Amino acid sequence: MSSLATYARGMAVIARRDIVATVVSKGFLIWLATPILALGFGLLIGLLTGSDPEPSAPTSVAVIDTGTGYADWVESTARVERARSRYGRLRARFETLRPEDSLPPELETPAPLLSVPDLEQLAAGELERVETAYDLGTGEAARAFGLDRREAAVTVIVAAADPRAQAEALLAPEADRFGAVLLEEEGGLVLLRRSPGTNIERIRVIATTAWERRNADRLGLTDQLLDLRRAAPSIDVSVPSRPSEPGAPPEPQPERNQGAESLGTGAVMVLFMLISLLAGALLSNMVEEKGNKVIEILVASVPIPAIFAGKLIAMVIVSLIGIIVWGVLFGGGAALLLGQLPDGLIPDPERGWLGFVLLGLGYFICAYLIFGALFLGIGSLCSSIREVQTLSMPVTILQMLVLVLTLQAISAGPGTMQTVISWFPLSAPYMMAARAGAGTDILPHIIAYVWLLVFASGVIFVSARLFRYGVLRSGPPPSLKDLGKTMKTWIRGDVVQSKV
Amino acid sequence: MAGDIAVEARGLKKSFGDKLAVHDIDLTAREGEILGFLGQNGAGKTTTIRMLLGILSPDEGRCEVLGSTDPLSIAHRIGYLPEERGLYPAMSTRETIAFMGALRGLPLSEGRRRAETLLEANGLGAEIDAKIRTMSKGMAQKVQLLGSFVHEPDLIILDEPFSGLDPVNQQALEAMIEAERQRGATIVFSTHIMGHAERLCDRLVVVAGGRTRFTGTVTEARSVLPAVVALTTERAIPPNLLPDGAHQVPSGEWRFPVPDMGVEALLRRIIDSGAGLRDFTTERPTLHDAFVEMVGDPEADDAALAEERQDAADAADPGAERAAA
Repeated sequence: MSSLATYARGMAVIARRDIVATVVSKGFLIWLATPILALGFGLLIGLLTGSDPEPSAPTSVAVIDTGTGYADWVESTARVERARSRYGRLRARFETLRPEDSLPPELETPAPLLSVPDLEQLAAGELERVETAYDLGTGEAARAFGLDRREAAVTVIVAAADPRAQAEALLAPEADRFGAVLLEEEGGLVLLRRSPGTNIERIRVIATTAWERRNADRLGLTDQLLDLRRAAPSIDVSVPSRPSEPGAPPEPQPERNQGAESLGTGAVMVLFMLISLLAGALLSNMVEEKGNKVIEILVASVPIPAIFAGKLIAMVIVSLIGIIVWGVLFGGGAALLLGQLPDGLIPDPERGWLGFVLLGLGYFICAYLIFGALFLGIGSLCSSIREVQTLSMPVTILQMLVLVLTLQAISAGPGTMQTVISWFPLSAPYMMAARAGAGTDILPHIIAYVWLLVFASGVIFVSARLFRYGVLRSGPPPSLKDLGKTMKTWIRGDVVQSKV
Repeated sequence: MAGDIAVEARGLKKSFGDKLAVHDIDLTAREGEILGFLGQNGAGKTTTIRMLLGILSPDEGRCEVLGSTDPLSIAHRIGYLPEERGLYPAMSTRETIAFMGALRGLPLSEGRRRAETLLEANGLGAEIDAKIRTMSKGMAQKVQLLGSFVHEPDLIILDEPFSGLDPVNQQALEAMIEAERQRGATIVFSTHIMGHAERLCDRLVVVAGGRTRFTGTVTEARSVLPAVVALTTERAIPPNLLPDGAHQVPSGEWRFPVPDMGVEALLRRIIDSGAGLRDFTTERPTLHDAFVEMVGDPEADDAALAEERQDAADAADPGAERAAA
């Protein structure tokens, strides 16, 4: 049998064993369940740390109508303020989705400057028309996902003989309908809330605005105020021209693309999670084999580099199996969810999802080869999980540092920091995966792949030598000093054993 | 072809840092024979075996296995049982044997089929689907041994195959090794338990301190020491009749090496002296005695001696041994 065939056969046998052993293990099931666990954990944390123990409280307010007409003003104000908020969101969405375009006339005015008649018109159906006309659909899905939750729903209730007692009764625990009750009392306003944590900021604004509007109306000032608003001069918006040297190119302005930033952050987090989990699995697998002495049977049958490569390949395949299972189990649900979400809530990559995912997959493989090889080399020097934890700590810290710096570089946008992080080989897979979400250039990615694969080859070479050096060792792992002293031995490719 | 060289090592030397593990070892195994590789703990047996298998490279010297200097390239023709047993606890016995075959080039499906046959033939038919973690040490060791020759190798190297096993399992393992020899495989096994070597081996290589001390058959090994005469008389033997090296043990028995004049002439003189011969035997030295003589450190292997004596006792009363097991 040729040495290449021996190598390939050995690698395949090792990879197959590791794949089967990992896929049918409890650890893998837990790994597969990680997204569900993370979601559940997030929900739990959300429930435990939520500022309001009564989710309906801030959005459900009763106004007791004591016959002064104030309740109607509150109801009207809540309606127009709801329209103002929705208008503001449409305007922001337009700017996010079409950063190149100017705002259309219907959305040109900032939301706080809209007059009550404008807002009444918007509430009467104009908002829906603008939303459809410019394809800004938040629609039912947005409401279903709670995007309108900030606006308090106001319910007018006719006053009983004792409005204060009536208000208290409405807030009784067994009633469980309103978060707050507003009533007018002896020329002032009273706002009762269910608990100290109930959010009342918005209803205070509405109550005060309604008070002003009613009093202005009583004083006959409504039309005058409207006239004043309408008479306000239009504001001329421009950028001051700067003197520039003749022939000098215009100063480049870094562009900030929120959508690409979100995608990049998401890609980095997914990549980091996958690499960390796989590296952990690789390490524990290695230590188990050293612990139960199977490793000697392997090294006596298969070339050591083939064992090393088989293990690395096995974990890549395991991760792909995991991703496929996640895709099948959760992909349908995710697609359904994404379909229901308003367009643009999750930004589309400029190169399209297929290109983005394929590039990300490539960077995942590069990152895995680098970190996986490092961890495998370290694992071969250790005999117990405790030793592994101690020895892999510097690499784990380095990984965390790389993650933090990459996220910072993403949020900083294009610039020196991003360039450095894009080329530093330990952070490059993450940063370049993030950058795959922005722009359509392919050349930087091809260069990055070449660079990362060259670097990965170097790491694999050194780690494979360490693996060969340490795989039959027992006892405590060597110190860095020892490794330095014996570097000539292990770089040459010698195996060290503890038993004679 | 029987008689051809299966394993040949010359002048092997290996050190780890300052520690010289193997100093100068020569070893030859002929095709179809069982070669015992004997030595104390730390004598360099495992290091030598690892060099034969290509796990370690010798610092000096050369070795050739089945005509190749690159044993990994002919891994499919070699079977190996390391001293430190290693199996995946979560694997079934069938999968373990098939996996070990696959490592050496046997297709998995064929490995599974052969595993079932081997397990049935060796009394483990009920354990085909049992996980290794549920098995006793002896059973797991049998499984590993079966895994080391499931691919029907031409050469089987076993490092201390009997260590840690009870006498019943040792006997079963001996039978399995003998069966492989019958199939035509060359077997090299290391041990420090002389009983197994005496029963199984065609030839022996004895190492001590990282050097080869003896190569030859079991009979030749025993010949390193002369036979011992043991006799008891009615009355005291005149001192001038006692040969060199004679000593009396507490029971009153006289022991001495067979004298140059021969046993018959000596006995005649003692009888003529009127000492009155009561009992007389000529004892051939055991392999253990020869081994201790060769390695030169009689206290080094007390444990092995105890084990061997136990073996002998068990062999004398196998019924009791099985009952104890």
